Amino acid sequence: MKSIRPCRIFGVYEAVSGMKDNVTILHTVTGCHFATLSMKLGRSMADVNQTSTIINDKDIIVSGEGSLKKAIENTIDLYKPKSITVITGCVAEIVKDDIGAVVKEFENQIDIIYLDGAGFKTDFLEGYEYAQLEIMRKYGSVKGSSRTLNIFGILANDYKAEEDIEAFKTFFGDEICVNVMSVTGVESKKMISENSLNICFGRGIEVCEFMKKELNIPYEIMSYPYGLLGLKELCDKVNSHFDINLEEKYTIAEEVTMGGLKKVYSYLDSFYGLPIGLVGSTGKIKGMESFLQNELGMDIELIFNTDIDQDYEDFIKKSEVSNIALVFGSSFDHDISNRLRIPLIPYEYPVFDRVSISPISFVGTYGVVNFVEALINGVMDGVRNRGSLYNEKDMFLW
Amino acid sequence: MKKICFYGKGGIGKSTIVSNLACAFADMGNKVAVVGCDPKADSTRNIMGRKIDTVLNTEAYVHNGYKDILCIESGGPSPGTGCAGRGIVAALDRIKEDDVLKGVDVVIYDVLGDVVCGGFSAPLRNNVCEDVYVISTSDYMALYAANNICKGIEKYTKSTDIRLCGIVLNERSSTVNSAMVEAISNMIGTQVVGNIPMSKEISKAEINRKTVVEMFPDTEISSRFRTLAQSILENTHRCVPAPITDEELEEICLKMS
Repeated sequence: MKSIRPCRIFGVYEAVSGMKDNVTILHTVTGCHFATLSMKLGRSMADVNQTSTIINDKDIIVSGEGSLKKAIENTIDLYKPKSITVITGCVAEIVKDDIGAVVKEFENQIDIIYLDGAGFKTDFLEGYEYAQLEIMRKYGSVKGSSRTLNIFGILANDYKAEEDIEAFKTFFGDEICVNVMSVTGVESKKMISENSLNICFGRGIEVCEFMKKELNIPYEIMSYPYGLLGLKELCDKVNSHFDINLEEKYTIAEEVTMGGLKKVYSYLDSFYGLPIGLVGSTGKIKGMESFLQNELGMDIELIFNTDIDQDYEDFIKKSEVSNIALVFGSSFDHDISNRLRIPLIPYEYPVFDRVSISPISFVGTYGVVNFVEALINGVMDGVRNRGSLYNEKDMFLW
Repeated sequence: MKKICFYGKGGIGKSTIVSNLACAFADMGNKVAVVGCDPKADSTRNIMGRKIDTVLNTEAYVHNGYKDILCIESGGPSPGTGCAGRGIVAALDRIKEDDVLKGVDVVIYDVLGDVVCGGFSAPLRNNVCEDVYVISTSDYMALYAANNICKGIEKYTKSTDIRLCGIVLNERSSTVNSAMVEAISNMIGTQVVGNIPMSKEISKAEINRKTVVEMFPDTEISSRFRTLAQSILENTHRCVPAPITDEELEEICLKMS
């Protein structure tokens, strides 16, 4: 059986590694450091706020507590961060280094937290939920009353994360402050507005439940707001909670979308009934499924939820005997794309083989137009077009 | 080269017996080495007259003790930290890599406590050792540990030439029941290869950082160590142990107590 579900350390890492003015120290062997670091390759290379103790044989034998202490001292000295997050990997948790004691020594100097990222314990999703919860347990407090939308579920190194966050901020403008929890700093977590609504894009349910109970902040769960329907659902939830009207903003998004898509209507016709494969996590897959199916009219023949489905090898086998002409997923799905020689449209974590530096988001006012542009270009770049639809003489590609 | 390792419950007297046996082997004219596989690093204290630097914390880790016995301590973490088992593995790898045991007639490995993890069973693998002796008193818990150790040994007999060669009975407990230890040894498929009586001289020697063989060579206890050493050198009994169940052990201990 082949799994493409990342282990716990990635979940923990993605919950905290984007935090502003924070340095993440990975108390792990070099592989965990390298792999997590590689998630940043397609993004801002100058903003690598992470370091590692690089556990070696000696650290295993005599404990890595000394190395970690030195790493924290060096981090404070060199980075001068406002907070530090120590994430452990498998080795430190098997040997059972007393990380809590080491971290406690620095608590008077800096905001510092220890998060257990041992991959042998649980998987990505549980790691993400655990880390968000621990961060909020330690730092979360309410202050101020500005209208705020706290967003959970966007990973620090999600493909298009930075662009999508900007798109949300632009869309809601001055009316609502947007606070994306995986990237805001500790200071923001200590001053969560009491007039907040938590929106949970599939992940972060535990922390939202905790905040409801302890900080009296309500929450709504929805899938990632792809497409106009996704945006509409988000607007409705926000409208309903804050008693405001985002109708005008949504109408603009609709107009932008229609205006953009009109230019490529012939291509869009070809998407109707096109059999596709969809791979993604709980946080994103439903939003994408709804968008592709209900708005673009595609036929989702195969679907693989990385948080639920275990056997990716089985999914590959099914895809080989299917009619799918496109696959939507992450960099891991190149396997299917290469075997079937069909285009891969990346939208899901992890994407480590593309850069994303222009302000092209997949959500918000321009989300649909941007995504459809990437989709059509992706199809045009395909080495071979597959599926019965492509063989019809009136297909848009020839 | 005769490659022997001693296992046994913690505090059973392994280091005392190993260090005295090493001196007895040396007195017989053998080139001897002792490798302490315990982070406490005190297996060779009575041969050296002091604690020595370990494989894990120095380059020059081979020390010469009584009659040129090569004394090596693996070393390891402070209590409550790190991974002692990994330390033993790393130390044994280093000893092998450096080939420091070349020319030795008898090498004795003194291994910490029970076979609690892969690290402590490292001497049983990769032909580090060939002959295993288990030290026990006639206390139930010591015999329980001995039987458990046999389970570990049995596992490695399938892939290596390692064999159980006997039980050494240490008579330092409040009651001594050599018949019971003999019976249990037979059930496991082995023998009692020798016994060491309780002795005031051992305590006196140890407080002076010496073995009795060195400090009180003409005493009865030294003679017993020399006899045991001779028995081990001449021992041809090598078996795949057949550990008994916990219930069987309890039953025989109750019956013979």
